[in-house]
Amino acid sequence: MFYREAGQFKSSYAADQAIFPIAQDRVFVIAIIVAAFALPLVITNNYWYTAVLIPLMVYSMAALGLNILVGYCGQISLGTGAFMAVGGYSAFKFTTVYFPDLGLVFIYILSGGVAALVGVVFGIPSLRIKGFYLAVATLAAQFFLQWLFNKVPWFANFSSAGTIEAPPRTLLGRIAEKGGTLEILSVINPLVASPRAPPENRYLFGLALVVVFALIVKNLVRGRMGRSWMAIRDMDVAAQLIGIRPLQTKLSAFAVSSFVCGVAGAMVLFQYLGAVETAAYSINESFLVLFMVIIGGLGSVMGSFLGAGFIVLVPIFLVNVLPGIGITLDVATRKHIEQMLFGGLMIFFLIVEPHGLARFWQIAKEKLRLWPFPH
Amino acid sequence: MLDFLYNLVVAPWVGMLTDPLFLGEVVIGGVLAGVMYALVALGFVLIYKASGVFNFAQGVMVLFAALSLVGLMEGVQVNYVALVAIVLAVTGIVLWSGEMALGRGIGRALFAGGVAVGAVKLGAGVLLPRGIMLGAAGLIGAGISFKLPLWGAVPATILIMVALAFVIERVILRYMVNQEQIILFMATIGLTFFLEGFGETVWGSNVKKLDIGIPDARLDLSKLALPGAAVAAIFAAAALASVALMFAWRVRAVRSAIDTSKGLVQPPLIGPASLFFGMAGLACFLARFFVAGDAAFVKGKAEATAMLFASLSWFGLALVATVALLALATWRGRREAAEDHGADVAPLHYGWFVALGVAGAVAVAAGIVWAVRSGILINGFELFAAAMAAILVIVLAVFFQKTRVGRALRAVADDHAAALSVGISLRGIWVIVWAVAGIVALAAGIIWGGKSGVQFSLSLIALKALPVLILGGFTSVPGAIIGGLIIGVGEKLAEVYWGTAIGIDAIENWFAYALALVFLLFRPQGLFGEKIIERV
Repeated sequence: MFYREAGQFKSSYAADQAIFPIAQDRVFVIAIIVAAFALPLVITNNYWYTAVLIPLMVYSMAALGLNILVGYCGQISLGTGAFMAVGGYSAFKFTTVYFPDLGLVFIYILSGGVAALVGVVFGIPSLRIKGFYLAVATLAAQFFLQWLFNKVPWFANFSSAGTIEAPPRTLLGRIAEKGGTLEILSVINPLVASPRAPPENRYLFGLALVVVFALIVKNLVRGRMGRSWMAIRDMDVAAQLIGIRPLQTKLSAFAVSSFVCGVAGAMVLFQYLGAVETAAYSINESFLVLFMVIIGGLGSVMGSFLGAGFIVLVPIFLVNVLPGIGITLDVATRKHIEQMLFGGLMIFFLIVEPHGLARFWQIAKEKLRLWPFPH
Repeated sequence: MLDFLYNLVVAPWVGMLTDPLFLGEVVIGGVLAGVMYALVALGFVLIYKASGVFNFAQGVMVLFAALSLVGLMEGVQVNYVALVAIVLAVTGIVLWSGEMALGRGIGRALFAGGVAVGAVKLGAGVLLPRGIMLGAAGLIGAGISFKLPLWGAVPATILIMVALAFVIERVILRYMVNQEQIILFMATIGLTFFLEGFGETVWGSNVKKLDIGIPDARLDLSKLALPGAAVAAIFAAAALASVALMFAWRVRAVRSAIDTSKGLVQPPLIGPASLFFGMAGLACFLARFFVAGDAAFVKGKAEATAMLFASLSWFGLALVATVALLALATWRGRREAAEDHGADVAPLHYGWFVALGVAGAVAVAAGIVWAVRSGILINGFELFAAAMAAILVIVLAVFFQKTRVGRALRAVADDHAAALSVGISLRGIWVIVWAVAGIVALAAGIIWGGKSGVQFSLSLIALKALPVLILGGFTSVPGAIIGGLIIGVGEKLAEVYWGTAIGIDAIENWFAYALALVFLLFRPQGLFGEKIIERV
């Protein structure tokens, strides 16, 4: 009853080809986005920003990137952490050494580009290696790049601790600050990075990025490029026969995916943690992001967000729920029990719905369409 | 830049040649480490073959087995309530896995009861204030405590791993039949998290020492002086082994020729391969005299270098001899085959492969004699590990090839549906294969845990086993072993020679992956993996 598309007639091709052709979807998504942007009006508690909202944005971005590769193009990758590290470290080098005056928006685009290049290089084996062999081969990228950033002091500007710190940077850079050529824009030029920036700003900037990238990705996968990715995913030999070139298609998936993951990696440094070591981009991150993609739903933009929400929120929930019902444990035991519960939940969700949370969403829409009738 | 290139391309080889004794030690260390990697990879291969599950939890199974073993050896206090829970859960899971419907129902209820009692016990332990705990000590606090010696703890841990296999099949795998591989992979990652937390909750997370009575010290082999008879015996054994290998190769080729009812032909008399290897062997043999005469080259390390070239020349001589032998056999075989079958003949490829094997055996024998005589140092513990792994592999091979269950396992690995159709219980096979993987994990846990202590990082050796796995192929047991050896030796050589030459360290984190990647580019399914056939 609530979700019924009957009576919504399209009178132009543009309307027919819209991202959300059904009015209810459109309203729902816009409402969510507006609500997300309005959150800082309601939430003033820093814990919410630093522990929940900002990581949610970062991981949504990473999951979005990986979903292109795994969900749409069918190439399993366990190197996400490494591509995020490339984004993070190149953004760090750009802001501190090469373009200290540039705004963060441009920095992110540049570092995403660097990550895309690296992604293409490590994507080359995918032309020959498939399935789990490729998954393990991408681990080479993970371990090699992490080792590289760890061992070559140049990447961390020769800092003795090997830590890289996000310098305070504004949205558009020096050019729009007081005294710059575009001083007129200083109203929309807030401080968005480094721990010194107010958490609302960091969150809002991250949110804006995620929304923009989600739109771009959604359109990419609807278009020619996305269709050829999906053809390769479904059966590469058949795709080749109908004239899709595997080289370009696979490498473009690696490039776009790594671009988005690179931006996510830069967000880890600039928006989320403020100062990181290579351990922040470890193989655990790769596994977590892959799990987000799978639990959210392979080949679904919506699913990336749901999966990121699940993985970010469940540990926080577990941390808070055990003391909440009166169980107090020492730190080590609590950590182990949380780990058990987390693993158990992962298995439980995979058994209940192997197609991910996006499938739940689909079922919910189906039910809403028929409600109040069962059939 | 030129310095860098020199360090990259030349220096490591110079380093190897100037101190062959050290090189020998490095290679042997690599072989032994490789055996240990192979042991972990073996567990992966068993499960992947039988159920198509890429079991990421293999590493944490190693940790769990080692934790249980150490826990049992250090002494356990089992509370009566917990004992009841364990007994209930174990009987339940065994009944639940049976075929009878009634038994399954009862078993499921018992398992659930056991888990519930365990949860209540855990909850009561942390929830209730100490006063009540003490008051109800008769029920909650009391228990039995015991401590097992090594020979008792190992079977007990095997029982635990078998029970774990039952639980995994019942609670997870059964519900995931027919899912995509990546979903199953993710489920094993979930299992990894769970087992890690579970093992450390039950046994504690501090670093434990596992003492199995083998000293982790280097043995000086030069003390056992090798008599001439032993030397002769080693060479005889090598020769015998290589002849057996050649014979086996012939038999196989003849059989396949009979199967396809074709004549048998070996490669051409002077084919490029046999020519190449014959020349290489000759060069190896002759090199000895040139080098021994060049005083500038052998200065300082004269004896050791000469030794190296001595074994190299044995290799060369053996190579020349085998190639000649093969060529002779080929010539005769060709004529006979041509007379019997005309042009309809199946070529016997890779004759030179055999030649290489024979020559290799002789060279290894020469190497052993040389190494023992010149006093090489070998880590006793690693030697024990390698021996244990070898025994395990032989037992597994016999189990797979000679027993009824092994035949069923191979049938399942070949084709699930066909195996089901001839009455093999898929679920039973899964339990068996996970149990076997659990036992292999225990062996790996004993070795790794005995070497570096039992702690959380033990589960990370799964990441060490992955390159071994893709190098050897997911479906091949010999692949896992040979892959382990290649990775082990390659890693050690790279670490010792290239690592120090270029001045970078800790490359063992990624070197194995890079090495495996290079192999994969030439064989995308690993060295011994099943050939991937794609159909549209």
